[in-house]
Amino acid sequence: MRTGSLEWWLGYIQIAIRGDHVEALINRMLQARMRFWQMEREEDELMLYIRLSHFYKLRPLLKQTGCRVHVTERHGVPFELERLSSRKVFISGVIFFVLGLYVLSSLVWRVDVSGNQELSTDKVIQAAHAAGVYPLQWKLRLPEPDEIAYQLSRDLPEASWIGVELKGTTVRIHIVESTIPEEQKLKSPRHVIATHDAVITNIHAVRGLPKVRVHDRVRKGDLLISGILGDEEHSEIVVADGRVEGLVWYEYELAIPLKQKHRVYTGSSTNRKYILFGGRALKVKGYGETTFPEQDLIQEVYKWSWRKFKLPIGWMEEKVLEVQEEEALLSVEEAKQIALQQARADLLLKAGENADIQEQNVLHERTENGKVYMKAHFEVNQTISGEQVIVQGE
Amino acid sequence: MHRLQRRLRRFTASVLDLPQDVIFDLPRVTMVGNMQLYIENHRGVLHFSSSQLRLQLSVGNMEVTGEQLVIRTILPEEVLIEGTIQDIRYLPE
Repeated sequence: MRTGSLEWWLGYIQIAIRGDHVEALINRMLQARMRFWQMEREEDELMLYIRLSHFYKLRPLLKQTGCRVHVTERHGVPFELERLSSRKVFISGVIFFVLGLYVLSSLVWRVDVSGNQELSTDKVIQAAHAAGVYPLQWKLRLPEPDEIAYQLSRDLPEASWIGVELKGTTVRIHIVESTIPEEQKLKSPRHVIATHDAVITNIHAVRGLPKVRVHDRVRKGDLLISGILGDEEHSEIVVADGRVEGLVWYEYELAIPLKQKHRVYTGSSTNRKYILFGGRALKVKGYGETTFPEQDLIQEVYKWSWRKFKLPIGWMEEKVLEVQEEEALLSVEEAKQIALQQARADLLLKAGENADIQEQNVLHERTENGKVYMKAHFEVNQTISGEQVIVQGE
Repeated sequence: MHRLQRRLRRFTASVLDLPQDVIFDLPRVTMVGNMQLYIENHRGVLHFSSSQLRLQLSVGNMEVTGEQLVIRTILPEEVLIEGTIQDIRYLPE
């Protein structure tokens, strides 16, 4: 029989039996149903393997048969344990390690907060601390996640939902913030007045009493929508609000030279190369003065970088381009178009968005000293509503 | 065992074609070459040395001689012997 794993767990030994009635001993051992195997005769000794627990029952049988016994080999778990137990420091190290791992893994090591935008993480962490969730807290002492979430959402009314999850040694707090409507600015009672001289084309009063009608002519500063409701006896002052559009006239005096100068690249260029060390540049290529009467410079800087970190070392390339001024002579018509275009661009900038140029008229033009002088008139449909505060107690 | 009983048993064994060891409480011996010997239904060890093993049977003894004999396993009624087996003999009591 091979030595099975059961024998190994229980422990077994090899013993040497010496005596005159060894066979009688064997028969008695068989009657006692002991487990023994691998029996050999070596000179006057009988060697055999026996299960450790059965070895202790052997003593009375030995006495009866007058045999003597001594142990020659020890195998199995009980002996391995005994061997280990003599290495106390090693054993205590193993126990300490396992215990340490257990203790350290039963602590909370991190509190993660996610999902917060307006709410500061510090505030959440403080609230969590108050609820008993903080690093180096025992996990056993943590309340149930539901309970933590409930307490947190009571402490943080800004959040509409808070989820708490314990994952290993990390407590994750997920926050969904409630969207709070923007606070409206307090406005003082006011009228809506005209910002330009205009002819009203459209009036849309949101609040207040309109004082003008479409096609009315108004002057700058005229009352358009009144902030005072009711008659003289029963009146209420409100914040008048609304949009009034009107036709506004603009006049432009324009002057544009017929000779236009352009800067043009001739196509010839030279390159310069530098090596950069911090703030210093060492020229490597492109020595010598350029012969260009006029020039442009295009610089490109390359720095070595690794992820987000930029190293102070790199190189720089400079391209020197020759520039020439060219003169172009415009026809009167072209000059006029350019001038009107410039005027319209300026106009749209002044009149604000929604402005719409309805009409443009050139009133007067003359060419003098290589320049075109002209007077242009524009009719623009634009918003003309402005604000005027009503002074109380008036 | 009575003669009558014996005859009855032998008769039953021949009629039912049963193995004899079941009927007569005889040892069953299995041998693998001259290396292994498996004996069932023995009644104890009378002598054991590396060259000789004598077993008690229900009737008589059995003597196994050889070289470097080792009892691999021994149970109350079974024994497995290994070594170089040269001779097996039945000895009447």
